Amino acid sequence: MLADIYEPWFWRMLAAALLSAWLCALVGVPLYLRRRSMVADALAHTALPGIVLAYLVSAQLGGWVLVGGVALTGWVTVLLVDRLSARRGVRSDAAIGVAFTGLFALGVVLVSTLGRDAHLSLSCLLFGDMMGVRDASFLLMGSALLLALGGYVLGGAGFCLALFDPLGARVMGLPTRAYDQGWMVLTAVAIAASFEAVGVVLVLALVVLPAATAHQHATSWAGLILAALGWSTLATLAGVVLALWWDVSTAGMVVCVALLLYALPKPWSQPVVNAADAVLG
Amino acid sequence: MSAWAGAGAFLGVGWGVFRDYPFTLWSSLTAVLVGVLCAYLGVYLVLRRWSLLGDVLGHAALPGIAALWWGAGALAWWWYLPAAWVSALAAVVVLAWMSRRAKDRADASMAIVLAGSFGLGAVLWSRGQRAGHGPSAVQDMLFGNAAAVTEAQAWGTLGMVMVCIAAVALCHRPLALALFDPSYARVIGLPVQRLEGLLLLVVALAVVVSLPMVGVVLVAAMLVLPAQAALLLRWRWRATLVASVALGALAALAGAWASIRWAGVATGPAMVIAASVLFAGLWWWTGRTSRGGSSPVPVQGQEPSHVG
Repeated sequence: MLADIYEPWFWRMLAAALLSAWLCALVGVPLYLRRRSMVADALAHTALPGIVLAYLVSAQLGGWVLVGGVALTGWVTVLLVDRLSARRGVRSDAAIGVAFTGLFALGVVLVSTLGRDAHLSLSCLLFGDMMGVRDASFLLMGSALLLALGGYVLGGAGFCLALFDPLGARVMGLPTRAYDQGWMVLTAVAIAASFEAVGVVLVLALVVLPAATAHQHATSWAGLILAALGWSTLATLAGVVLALWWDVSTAGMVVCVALLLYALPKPWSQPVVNAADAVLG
Repeated sequence: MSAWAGAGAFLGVGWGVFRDYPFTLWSSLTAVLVGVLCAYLGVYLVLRRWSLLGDVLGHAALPGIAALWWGAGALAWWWYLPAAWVSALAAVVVLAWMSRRAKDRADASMAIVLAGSFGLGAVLWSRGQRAGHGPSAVQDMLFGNAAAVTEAQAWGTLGMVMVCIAAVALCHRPLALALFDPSYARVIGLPVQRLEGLLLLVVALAVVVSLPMVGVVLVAAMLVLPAQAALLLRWRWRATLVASVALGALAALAGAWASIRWAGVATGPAMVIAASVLFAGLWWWTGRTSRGGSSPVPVQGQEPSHVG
């Protein structure tokens, strides 16, 4: 176990785990605050047909074709949910359930028929493989991380206000729709970048859990983001070490530790008085 | 015209499958049973705004199955049912506990329980693989396998489906009232929470019964797709239930036959694709006849047209 830290693959795996965890945590905070967690679930599931289509077109996993494929199916999902829930008598949760399951089933059938002789393993797509992360995915995760950071920096206080008080932000003339749509695209890119490391289902846990844990105790906007990053770092480091120790799935162990950190009581937390305090710090 | 062509192709594939594979009888029976059960309970779930709960319960069954596989190795299919049921019910209890905490958001709680239990399942699963247990019923539980269904399994499924449907049908009247108008139901003294708890118990059992056929990841679709398709028709309550059950049975049968006929096509995804096609057809048809046209103003509250 201890001898592993002298091996280059250990550091490569740790880098992949940390990059994907940070990327997902950054993407997850606005999704959590806007109550879009189950939309993220739908996007993560419908990434599968996008991945398979991109693979069949370009015969490789990674690169911009992959991002394009996942973004395309993500866009189709959001469009479908909007169109379905626009009709009378169709609730938004049912619309999500209808939209993503059909596309996901299509992806599974594509993998098991067309992708079978193309070394596309369904269990790797579902659970991820920390050891098998390619250079192209590292590049993709790094660029998506920079993109997310850029979004926070450029959006600034206006972006934060749009998350806590969308109506007020719209009254002030802020482009709330552009924020929402831009962040959905970024979510699709983040899923495309990190599915190789953690799989399309577990990526959802890395997106939602750090934000939810941080929201239990954070009292300022910067504090919330930093706490989400901190919790995801802690979960990743502990998860990777424990996974090596017990010889189990790395991504699964990271999610288990993150779940434990979420469930732990935070005695230092105090209730946020109101949203304005959270915005102004 | 195209409907006749579709029905002809459906029956043609079915006849070919029956001729070539004699075990298809038991698979078809199980598929119809699973489709009927999920479609029946789905109407209640969709109306209660619990459409995504099936997704959570399906994923939450994985840790139980994987734990038993790791601990005891490959077993017969019915050993996994109690393990999966306990694990799905544990997810329900955790969700109910989370909904009492002030700072937790309902959608985030569902996402956390879904993905968290799948992570736990992944850990236990990899543990079982390291322990050297061979492929077993567990492998089929991910996406379902109609070809693995035996005669005993078909009869077992029949028994459990009858228990589930009887439990809900016996108290369908108070249950429907509790779904459409919970405050009125509480005023007249109905135990609304207990009724909802019963529905959850039965849905968890239905999810578990469907697993060998549909798999953990897509069982949610069989709960939502036929029910929502039937609700598009905006018929009365009883007619909606019948339409949903018919659609579910048709989709399940088509999926089971397709997966037996074409190698590499898993049963669960094939069923879901068939259900999606039926949904798309009904969506187009109901939109064309402008029976449920889109409204510019979102309508709050319940539709009285469903109460029969």
